[in-house]
Amino acid sequence: MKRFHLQSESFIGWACQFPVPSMYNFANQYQVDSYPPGLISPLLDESEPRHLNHFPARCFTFADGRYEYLRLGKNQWFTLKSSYRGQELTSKFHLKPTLENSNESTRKQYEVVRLTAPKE
Amino acid sequence: MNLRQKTISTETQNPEVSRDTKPLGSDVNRADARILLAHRLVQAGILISILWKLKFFLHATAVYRSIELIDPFFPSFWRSNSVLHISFVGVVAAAILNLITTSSSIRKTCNLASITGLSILCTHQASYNDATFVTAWWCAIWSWWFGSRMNRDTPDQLLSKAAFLSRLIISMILLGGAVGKWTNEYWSGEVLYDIYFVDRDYWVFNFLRDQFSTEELKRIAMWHSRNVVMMETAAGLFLWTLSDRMAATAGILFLTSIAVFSNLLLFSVVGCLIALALVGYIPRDEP
Repeated sequence: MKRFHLQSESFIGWACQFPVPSMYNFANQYQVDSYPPGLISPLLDESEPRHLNHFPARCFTFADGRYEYLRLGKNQWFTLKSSYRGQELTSKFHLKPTLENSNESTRKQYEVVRLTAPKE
Repeated sequence: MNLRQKTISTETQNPEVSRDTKPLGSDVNRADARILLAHRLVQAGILISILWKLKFFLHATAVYRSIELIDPFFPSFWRSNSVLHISFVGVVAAAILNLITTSSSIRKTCNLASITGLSILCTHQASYNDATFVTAWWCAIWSWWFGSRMNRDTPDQLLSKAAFLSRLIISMILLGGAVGKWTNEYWSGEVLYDIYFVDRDYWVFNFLRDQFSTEELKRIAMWHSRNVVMMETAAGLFLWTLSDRMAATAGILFLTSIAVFSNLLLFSVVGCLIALALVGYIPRDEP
């Protein structure tokens, strides 16, 4: 399941698994927040978790999610959760704008920070 | 022994020599045409799949140019936009060249180029595990295998093996999808309800939202989801056991229904698999 959260031990090990067909595998959810998770009351949580078909980290790596959540150049926190037959994996990512975003440029750059080791 | 029997028996002894010395209009020529047709069908499928995604790909690459992600998990080569573009264009060029060439060496080179390009696309930060590129990759593997057997097997042997391999690949891809859905969240319809029924702008779901209440929609989503799980599982387990034409027909109908009833963009995923299934229709002299 770590493969689906980009949490494999090595890129090579992860890449070697791409031929394994896995369309619409697992129940994958993601949640996006503008504040670090736990900083504000759950009552003020900004977004509801939504389901994704597979590979939930695509909510920020692929075009639609990148545009929707990262075009403003602000900090964003992503929580990914996948479950399958009683197993669960949760990962948290901080998409941290780099200094380059401080100017007026339309080009944005983010650093992907894995906040915690994935919880199973 | 008539001419047809002679040509077939000569070819069985040494297909490579017989293919080079065939008289025009003979059965061997017809067999070659069928083999070339099978290869070109799958190449056309790969091309259609990739080009079906072109509009989205152009939009996506514009986003990737303006919003860059520095993720140490991906080596810089696998984050580069240039690599993404070159791989995409390379796969398109290889498929087009494969459609027009009759040269064995060009065909082999194109098949290897196609596998390389698709392997990069399947592991690139901006397109990893994209189902379009994964299904196209399996079709490229089939093409590479088929191209490498063209001068070794007799036409009937090759077409028979090719049809079997094509339905085996389709079965495996469907089973891979089914296994991941053998979980409560799919059986209850929760996942597909959220992904498709809540707000997906597509005629099927727009129509259902107009006609039914939320509770009814959830029940429809549950039965739809159960149907998907069972159909995919059955197809994955048994499609490969059917005869060539039965498997081709069942595969084409099933794959087409996935795209028509979910999202026309999914033709980029199933297009090349439909072409692969069509190989089962190519006639053989021997049953």
